[in-house]
Formats: sequence, C-alpha cells, structure tokens
Amino acid sequence: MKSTLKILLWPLWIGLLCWPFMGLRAAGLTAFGLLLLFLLFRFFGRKIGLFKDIFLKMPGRELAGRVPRKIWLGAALLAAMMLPLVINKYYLDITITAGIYIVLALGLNIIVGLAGLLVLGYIAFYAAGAYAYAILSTQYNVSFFAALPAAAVLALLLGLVLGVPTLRLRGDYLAIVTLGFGEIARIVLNNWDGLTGGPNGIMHIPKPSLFGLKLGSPVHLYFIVLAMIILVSFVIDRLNNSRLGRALVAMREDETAARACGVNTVKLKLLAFSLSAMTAGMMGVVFAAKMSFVSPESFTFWESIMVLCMVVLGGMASIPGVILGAAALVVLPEIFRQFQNYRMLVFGAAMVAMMIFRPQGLLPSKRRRLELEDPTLPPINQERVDITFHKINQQSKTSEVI
Amino acid sequence: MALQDVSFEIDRGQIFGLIGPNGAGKTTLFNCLTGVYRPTAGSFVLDGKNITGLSEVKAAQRGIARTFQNIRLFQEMTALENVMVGRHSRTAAGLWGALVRDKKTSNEEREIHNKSQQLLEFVKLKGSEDLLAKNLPYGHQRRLEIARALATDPQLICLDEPAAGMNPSEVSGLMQLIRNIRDSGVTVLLIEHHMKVVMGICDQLAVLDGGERIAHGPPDRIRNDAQVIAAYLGTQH
Repeated sequence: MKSTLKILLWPLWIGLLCWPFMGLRAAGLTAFGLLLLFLLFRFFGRKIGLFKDIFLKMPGRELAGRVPRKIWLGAALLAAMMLPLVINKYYLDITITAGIYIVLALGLNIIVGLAGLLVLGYIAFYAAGAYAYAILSTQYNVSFFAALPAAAVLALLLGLVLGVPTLRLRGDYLAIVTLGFGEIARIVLNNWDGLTGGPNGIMHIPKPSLFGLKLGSPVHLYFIVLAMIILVSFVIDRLNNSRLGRALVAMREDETAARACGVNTVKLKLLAFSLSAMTAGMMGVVFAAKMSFVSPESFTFWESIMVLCMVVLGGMASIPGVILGAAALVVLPEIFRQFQNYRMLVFGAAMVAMMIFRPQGLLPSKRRRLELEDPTLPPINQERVDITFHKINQQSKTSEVI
Repeated sequence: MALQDVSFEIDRGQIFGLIGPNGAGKTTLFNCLTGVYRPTAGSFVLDGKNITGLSEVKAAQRGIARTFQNIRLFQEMTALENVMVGRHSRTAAGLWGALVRDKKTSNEEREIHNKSQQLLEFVKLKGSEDLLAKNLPYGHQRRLEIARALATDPQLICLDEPAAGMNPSEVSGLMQLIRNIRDSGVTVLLIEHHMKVVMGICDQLAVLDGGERIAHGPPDRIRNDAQVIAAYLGTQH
C-alpha cells in the first residue's frame, strides 16, 4: 500500500518541479510518462526480481567477488594508464578535473566517512593549497614539486587551527563552525589584495616541471593526478585496515565507549583533520597548476557541498564508492550538457532518488552493506529472537567487492 | 553533591557488589572511578597508587575497564572488531605502522586478532564474529560489551547492571561468566539490581543510598541489615 502511494506521488512531485519552466501541459505529460514507466517497472520488476537486482545488488557482484582484488586493481590501473591514448583533449580535461575531485573526495572521506565528523568548509584547505602554490611560484619561483609538501604543511596547520577549537563539537555544531571557517577563508582571499590579488586572483601560474623537464601538458597532469589518486587510496586503505582505522570508526560510532576502551579521541580527531587537510592542500597545488589561474570564485561553499555529495553518493568510507561518486558527479553533468536547463534538474532528481533508493551509496563500504543489505529484516536490537539471527549470519558471508 | 562519605575496599580477585535504590549514586561512582567525572573530593587508590581524577583514556591504561548501563557498543562494527578496539590501549601501532605495515605491526595485528577471538570464545560468542554488533540479540550484546572491556587487560572490571533486561537462562549464564572473570584473576566491581545475581555471586557488598554508604559486608549480613531493608522497602511509621 505504501509503495503504491509512493509510485503515485513520485511522478506528481517531479511534475510539480517541472511546471514552472515546462508549462502545465508538458509537465503533466512528463508526470504521466513517469507514472507509466514506474508502473511498468514495478509490474515486471516484481515478476523477475529485476527491481531487487538493480537496487539491492550491483550487477555482476557475484562474478566480481570471485576475482581476486589484485587482478581488479591491476586491470583498473592498466585501463587508467591507457585512457589518455583513447580520449580526445576535451575529455582528457574533464578526466583531470574528475581526478582532482576524486582525491578531494577521498580526503574528505577520512574525516566524514571514517571519523564521522561533518565538515562543511573543506574547500578552504584546497584553496590554501592553490594559493600557496600560486604565490610561491609567481613571487618566489618555487617549483611545483617543492610546493606540494609546502602546501600540505600549510593545510595541515590550518587543519589544526580548525581542529583544536572544534574538538568538543559534533554533528550540527561542527558543521556550522566549519561552514563559517570555509566562508572566512574565501572572504580573506577576496579581500587580502596585497597577497592574493583580491577578486582578480593570481594569473600566470607556471605549469609543473621537474629538473628542467616540462610537465605541463594535459597528459602529464593526468598522470600526476593519477599518482595522487593511487597514493591517497593506498593511505586510506592501509589506515582503514589498521588499529588507528578501527579506532576512528569506533569514535564515529560511540565516542564515550571509544574513550573507555582507551582510544585517545583528541589525538584521533586531529589526525583525521590533518590527513584530510593535507590531501586537499596538495590537490590545491595541482588545481592551480592545471588552471594557471586562481581566484576566490573557485572556492565557494558550493564546492564543499559538491565534494560532500560525492562522498555520500558514492558510499561513505568506501574507496571505490567515493571514486565512483566523484567521477559521476563531474562527468555526468558534462554528458548532460546538451539538456541545458534540465541538467541541474535531472541532477537534483537523481540525487534525491539515490538517497531514497540507495542511501548507502553506489558502492557502500563493507560495514554499511551489512547494515543496509536487506531492509526487510526486522531490527532485532531489543528482541531476543534467534531465528532471524541465523539469516543474517548467512548474509554476512557474501564476499566483499573492492 | 551526588556522593559523600562513600568508602570501601575491594580485595583483589573479589566480586564486589554495589547496590542501592535508583538514584543512590552507583553509576556516578562508576563515572568518577573511570574518569568520566572528576570527583571534587576523595580519592581512589588502585594497587597502592592514587588514581583519582584520571582521564577515561588513562584510567583504561591503568587497568580499569567498564561496561555501560545502557549498552554502548560500536553498532556498525562487527562483534570481532568491537573487541579489537578494546585492545587499543594495549597496542601501539601508529600511522607509520599502518602505512608501512612492517613486521612489528602485522605481528601486533595478529595478536589483537587472536586475543579478540579468544575473548569472544570466553564470553561464548564464538560464531558471531562477523555479525554487526547492533544485529546481535540483546543478551549477546551485553556479553560482547564485557568481552570488549576484558580486551583492555583490566585489573578491575566495572559492570554496570549487566543483567538488566536478561531472561532467567541468560542471567544464569551471566553469573557463570562473571565467576569465570574473577577466576581468571580480574577483580569485578558490579552494580546490579537483580538480587539473585548479587546474592549469588558477590563476595562482598556495599549498599549506597542517597549518595552515602549505608552498609558494607558479605551478602548474608547485608540481607538482614535493618538500614538496608529500610532503604529498599521504606521504614515503618
């Protein structure tokens, strides 16, 4: 009954959204079309279990589970190395942008996904890195590869500046404080004319070079970004499967209990903040080198939100998920560019639909998957039921896809 | 002032019961002991060393472990991972170890894993390693919390109403478990309302009422203490 109502309400809602710019007639037709589509989908979906296959199981999960992880990683790496050979310059540019966002999202994932701290001003660290390279390179002739660690250290210090006063905050309060931090960073960049060039930004930022070797072409940048993705993924993967990673997740789950286990939550929060910030700082350098121009416009609140969406959409605390989420949010709007006005609408509707049908994200982490795998199972938290117990036991044996 | 003039000694290897009506200050005492609150006066002495006012983390390192009245597990971690977190204060691998994964770190990981498996077996949760904590039945969650506390290698384990919400067969399993904990050499400080448990396993008891200790001694004496009966049932007018 409830799901029937849902199927009626969904097209109505989308129709209402379309009304202002499509007119009543077209919007009504869209809603009707969607309704038909939903009904068809429901009818056939129920018959052959299609619905469940698409939304509860990623296609090919069974198969994927049997192939060892190393082979998957090798194949993905090989494909990534070959990519610049097969795509044109325009798509290469988009791919580099996507790559930068992938690393940003992976960095934010440490603090949002693993440590469970909602940070909304993440882009400030990215801005710090970008401006650090812009200023160091244009005024002090510092090279790209020397600026990388410098920017990382600067971002780390900023991370500590933000981290220390917010140690006692959680949830909404932390979100608001970090939001303020992000805005302050942008406003400072906008107004400190002497150092940052104000709204005009900084131009003529040099491309990367190593020992006199120019590495400025898009292909070079592509490989720099790819290297960063591999490095950051490696760090997060190792961290996740370690004593510190477990402690981070424990802190996310219950801070009081974690402290009672001897987990120093102060240190851990600062660690999460600094790792996240350093990642963003280094990517800022890459961004500045790619654009050869930085201005405060590139570092708005919207950017922070986008990166957060990538993490949530892809699947919190899951490396492949976050990579997929970031890639999707950069590449899809480009593909939908021909739909112009509808682009953002489709985008927004897709986000809403995702959160309703697949709240754990595209490729959820192992823990999340266990949690949300079968929503039909009743919560057995407070009841002492041993029958359902066995059912979960079998489920948890599904192999991990990474 | 939630507690005043409360003093008692717990001998090593004892099960020491702390009872009293609701609001008597039992959990507050636990919170002072384990570092959640800092007492304004008085002291705790463990093994001849003053441990008053330590932070929660330091208290855990000194060998004081606890469970919570309302279960506080890491809900979305597996049972095994929950216990592994308990090993945190007895292990040392840092960021560098996590990244390089050198021999020392992997040995330590193996030690954490094995020890945690053993503890799950000890609390009779073998077979549930890979279940999410929140999907465990209630009684199992209680036992998992005890396993996590034991993972910190405590000298003293503080159990806050472990029998709350358990059915009779679970209760007798729990009593045996608490005895086993004592026999393994860990001193047990137990808050409990369940009189069968308290009278059945405790070596010594202290009774709190209104933040004060009103009686102290072995269960048999407490059972017949006039002041205790008055605190629980009220006085005759």
